[in-house]
Amino acid sequence: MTQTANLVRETDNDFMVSSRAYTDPAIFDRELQRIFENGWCYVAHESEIEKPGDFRTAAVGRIPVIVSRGDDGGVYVNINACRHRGTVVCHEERGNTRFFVCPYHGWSYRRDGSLHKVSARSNFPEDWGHDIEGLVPAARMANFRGLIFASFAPDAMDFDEYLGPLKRYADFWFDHALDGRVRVHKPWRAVYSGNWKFQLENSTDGWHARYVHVSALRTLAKFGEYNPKVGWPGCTRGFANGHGILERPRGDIPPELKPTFDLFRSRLQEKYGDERGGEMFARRHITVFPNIQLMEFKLRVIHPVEVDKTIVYEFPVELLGTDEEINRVIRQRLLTEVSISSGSPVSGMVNADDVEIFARTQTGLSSGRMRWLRFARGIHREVMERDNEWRGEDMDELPQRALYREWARRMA
Amino acid sequence: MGKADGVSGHPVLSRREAEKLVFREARLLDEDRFEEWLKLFTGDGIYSVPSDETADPAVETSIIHDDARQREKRVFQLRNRHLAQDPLSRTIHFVSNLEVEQAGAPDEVLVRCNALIAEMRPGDHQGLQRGLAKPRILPCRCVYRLRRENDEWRIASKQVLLIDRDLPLQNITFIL
Repeated sequence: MTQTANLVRETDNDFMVSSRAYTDPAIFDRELQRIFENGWCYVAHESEIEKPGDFRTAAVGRIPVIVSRGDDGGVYVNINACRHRGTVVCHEERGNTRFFVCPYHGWSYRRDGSLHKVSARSNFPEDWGHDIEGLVPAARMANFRGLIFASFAPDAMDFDEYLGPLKRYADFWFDHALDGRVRVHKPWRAVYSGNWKFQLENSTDGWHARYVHVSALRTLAKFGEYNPKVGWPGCTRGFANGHGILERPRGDIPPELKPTFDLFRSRLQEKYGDERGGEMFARRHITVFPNIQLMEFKLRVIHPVEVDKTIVYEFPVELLGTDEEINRVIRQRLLTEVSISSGSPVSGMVNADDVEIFARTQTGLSSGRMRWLRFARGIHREVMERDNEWRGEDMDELPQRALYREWARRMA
Repeated sequence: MGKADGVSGHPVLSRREAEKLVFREARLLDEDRFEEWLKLFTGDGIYSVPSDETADPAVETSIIHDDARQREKRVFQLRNRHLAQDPLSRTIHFVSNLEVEQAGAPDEVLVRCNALIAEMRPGDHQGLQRGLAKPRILPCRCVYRLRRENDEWRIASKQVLLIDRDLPLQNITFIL
């Protein structure tokens, strides 16, 4: 029996998480079941499967799934396993197909996962097999502005309720596209030697940058792309159900790109009004618990592999309906510049140092003697912004506390 | 077999001369002489490590796609406490299967070769620390476009095709 009691401890002035949360394989197994398979897990973006027959394979915890576009234009999430003997029916990452045909004995399924044919049907009794409907579908599915989430718990919380007040900010993120929609491009893919929650915590951690990213900031300053004299105001936000935000003004724009970003801001204010447009135009890292983060013009998806091994995908986004000039500059900063926004945790200036820290932290925790890790910065100044939403200062460990409050609830 | 230059029947740069440049680059990298490495490139030179070599690097992600300014930034960061390169990777480049062919422009050649890059970050004598003291071998194909400028051959582009370029990768913050 996995011991999950007392993995998170909160008092009026302290917040602690057991180091076992990052090192115990039994806890990891429980996370995959409780948090990933029975919660809401992000699986794919709608733009990856635009046409009927488009598919991509993904995972919900340890469940392999196919996310596909049916002939009816609907999105389907099914377990990637043949109803006959359980063989994976699709082993490509993405593509387009008329049928998913099992390579073992040739049973075939339609684009929506329904059963097309049992091969050699005449060899079975007439009245046999009428209960076989097709691939096993996810119990629940949600599509939030193109982000597709799946759950294998029939009684999973309604997705709108799950998102709660985070929706306001997730909408801001999508509304940066003047059509309200984004298209994702193929991702950077990185694997790091550490627990999945390090990446989840880190993307909304406003405190670490001045230490972990000192070399990146020094480099950008040297090349005139970052002004150390500009402060880093902003805030952190924590939400019910584990979501969180790190929010900062867009202050790191190099002078030659400023006209484009000014245009960008004015486009948003024209469309949404001065107030909403201005509020939207901030740099936000938004965690939708447990495995997707809406970052600066990219989606970050976290895939836990083992207790100490994690894959991170970073999908650059294109803002549909937005001026090509703006998309071009965003692309340039993401793809071909070693900049703060640049994406690759493998070779990038910023993210590569994050995953290095994750590996160093996993090493430090391997002693098993680090009983409690601390997440207390700013615990005395959490302000309730509205129901289910709290705000803190920009370097407070508030999003991490929100994350672990939910984590503890789900693991209990 | 490349197109001939019309005089000798061979590309304008001999295999031996091309090897000299590629080997020199390998040595500069293996000896941490990054500033000298920068000077091997033409002003418009590109150092790239694609994850999909058929994709447009201005639209789709690359592992690395560096122009001169990005290469300078990369080297500056290597010299300024880049955590992922603290300690710096040690590398040994093995280069083989080198072929030279004439490129489209008269003063350019394409050089194709295979490489094995052995890499390790030193610093952990007990073998406890993740990411350190673990020698890795990175097999790759390389394509260089070399251009003669003022009677000197420089790298107009260097493309490194890692064998696992479309899989999730670990630390490549050193120069391939």
